Amino acid sequence: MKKEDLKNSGYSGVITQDKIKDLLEQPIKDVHSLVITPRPDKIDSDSVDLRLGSYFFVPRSHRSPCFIPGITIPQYLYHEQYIPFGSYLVLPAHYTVLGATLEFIKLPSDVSGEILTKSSLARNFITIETAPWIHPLYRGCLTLEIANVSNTPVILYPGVKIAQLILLKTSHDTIIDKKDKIEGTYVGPVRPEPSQLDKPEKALKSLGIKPENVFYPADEYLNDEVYRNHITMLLERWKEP
Amino acid sequence: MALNDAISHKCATAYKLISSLRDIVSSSRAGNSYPQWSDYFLSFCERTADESLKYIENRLEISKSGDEIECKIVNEQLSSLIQSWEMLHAFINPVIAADTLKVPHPLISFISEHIGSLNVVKDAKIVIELTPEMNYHQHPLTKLRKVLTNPPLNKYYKKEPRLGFLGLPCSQSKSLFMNCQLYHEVGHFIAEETGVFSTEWLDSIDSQLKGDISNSGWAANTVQTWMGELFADIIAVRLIGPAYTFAYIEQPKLLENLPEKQILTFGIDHPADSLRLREQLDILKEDEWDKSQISSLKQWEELNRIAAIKQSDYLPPIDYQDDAVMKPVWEKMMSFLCQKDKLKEIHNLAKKKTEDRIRPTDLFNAYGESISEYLSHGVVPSACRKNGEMPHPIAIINSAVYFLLSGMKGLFDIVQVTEKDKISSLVWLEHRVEMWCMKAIEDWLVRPR
Repeated sequence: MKKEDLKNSGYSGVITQDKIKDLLEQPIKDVHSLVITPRPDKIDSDSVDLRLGSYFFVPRSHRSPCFIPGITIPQYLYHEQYIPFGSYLVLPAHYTVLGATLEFIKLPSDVSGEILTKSSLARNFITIETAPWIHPLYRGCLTLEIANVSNTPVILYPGVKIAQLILLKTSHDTIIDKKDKIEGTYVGPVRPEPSQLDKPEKALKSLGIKPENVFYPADEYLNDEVYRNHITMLLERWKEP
Repeated sequence: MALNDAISHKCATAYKLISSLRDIVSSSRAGNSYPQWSDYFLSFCERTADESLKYIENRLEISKSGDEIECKIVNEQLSSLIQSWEMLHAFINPVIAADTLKVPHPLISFISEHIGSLNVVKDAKIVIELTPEMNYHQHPLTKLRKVLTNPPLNKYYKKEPRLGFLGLPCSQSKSLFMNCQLYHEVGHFIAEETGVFSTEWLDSIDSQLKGDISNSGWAANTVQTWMGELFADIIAVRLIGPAYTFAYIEQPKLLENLPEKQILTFGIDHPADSLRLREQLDILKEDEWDKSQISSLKQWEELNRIAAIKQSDYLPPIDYQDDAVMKPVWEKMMSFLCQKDKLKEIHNLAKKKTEDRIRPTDLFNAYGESISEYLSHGVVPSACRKNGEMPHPIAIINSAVYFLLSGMKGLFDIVQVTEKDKISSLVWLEHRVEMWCMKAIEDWLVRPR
């Protein structure tokens, strides 16, 4: 099928090698262009292998009793780590880290993507993605939630193949004016980026939940006088002059 | 205190100092990753510390013999060891502060590769420091090298690779654009390594100033320092192009100084900004940047305006502008520096040191427009190819500077951000562009070769 036919046909499905190569050659100003950089030396029949980048977010022991969406500062949960090419990261058993692909991608306006763990890695009980869907026109390195679900520590070398990217033609173009746009929560990341979640008050507003009816983990301690006095004292200390 | 007791005391002092430094280095290396040559230096410090600790124990044993001559020698050796480690101390701390995540790592790796490709400092490598001051600096090495040839420090010391210690302000740890000022420090490094400003050079300035200035030794030193700054500027522009000059113009200190009088004022350590920019502009024009897209920037216009200010308008350092005795002395020194043949001499020296450089203009002309186009679509510019080749970092850096200074044309239209007018949105987007360019440099560094 020719490129123009594919664009207009309403055909939806997995894009294969020749088409991927063709999309990679399109000029960047074309909203239907595909970018994968650094450019892979080989493209499989229906997927592209992606490699592991050098930057990681590694969990750290922290003061918060738990992660509270929109409130806990991500830096309290993770610290960034750089592993140079040639060196490795030890992923202990039952441990998770955030990583990112070495490749920066930009999808065409009529192509979605899905990222999957390389099967040989999966057989060692490593998973790399729990939110694998990539929207048309997304651009950035892909953040990977790397988990070692095995009982053995595993070492990971930045630069090795870790994922495969599947490209799927959408039934219709997602933009009608053929103008490029960049939107979404994560704009063009080149390293793993921690989550940006709304506070529960904001997230639950659409369900009519009032702020006073949203509870937080420590609220139950407010019945305790010592804890209540502690909070009062802190509030006093932070009061503006 | 008997000499023996003094030696024991000195041994304990030295042991504490060195073992404490060793612990700091080891724990920093264990917890962080460092740019390649910083790690090399820190590893050298660890091994040398171990050797020094053994040396101290050994000296203590020797001193127990009670031989007076032996004891005197040991005492001197220990003093020298302490002094050497005090000197190393000044290098270790800023290097430890500059772990990979706190510095623009791809840029540093590229600078190392770039500098090492010049014949005059063949295979030199960069060790990066983080400084508390708002200044970039080059940490001179001559004195350190001298002490490293003494035992026990000489055991692991190798003359090659030559390491250049460059410092950047901790506030600029993630910037690509501002850190192009590191190239000026590269200029100082080249000057030190190649002995450009030798004693003979200083003597010659001294003899030329003697007739006019009574304290000609001091004046010659000052003029030589000024020459060193101009030399470093020219090296920077020849190596990285206008990215250095625009980073120089945009640096916070110069923006503060923008009242015209300040631009015209010489400092004790630096010539007037107007003169420095004029000399940089000369090189930029020689390299035909005036025929490139860069010349359409309003900053280029500003650069031309500042450079066109007459030499006769330059002012001596601020503390001497109303000093009837010193003002004429400073003016003589300024006129001496501004003589055409003197400036030409500095230009020629810098050109000779960089004669085998890659001309930045050629790289920019080949890739500049494409890189801007990729950036305007929010894409890492390593994706832009010419004959299958990724763009060279010098092209990426100058194109990024052009893209940022020309208002990020195109990108602002397609990014869906709320409150586009807010300074936070602008700064956020500028930072993204810098990260994309840094990623492109990183891609270039790991290209198949």
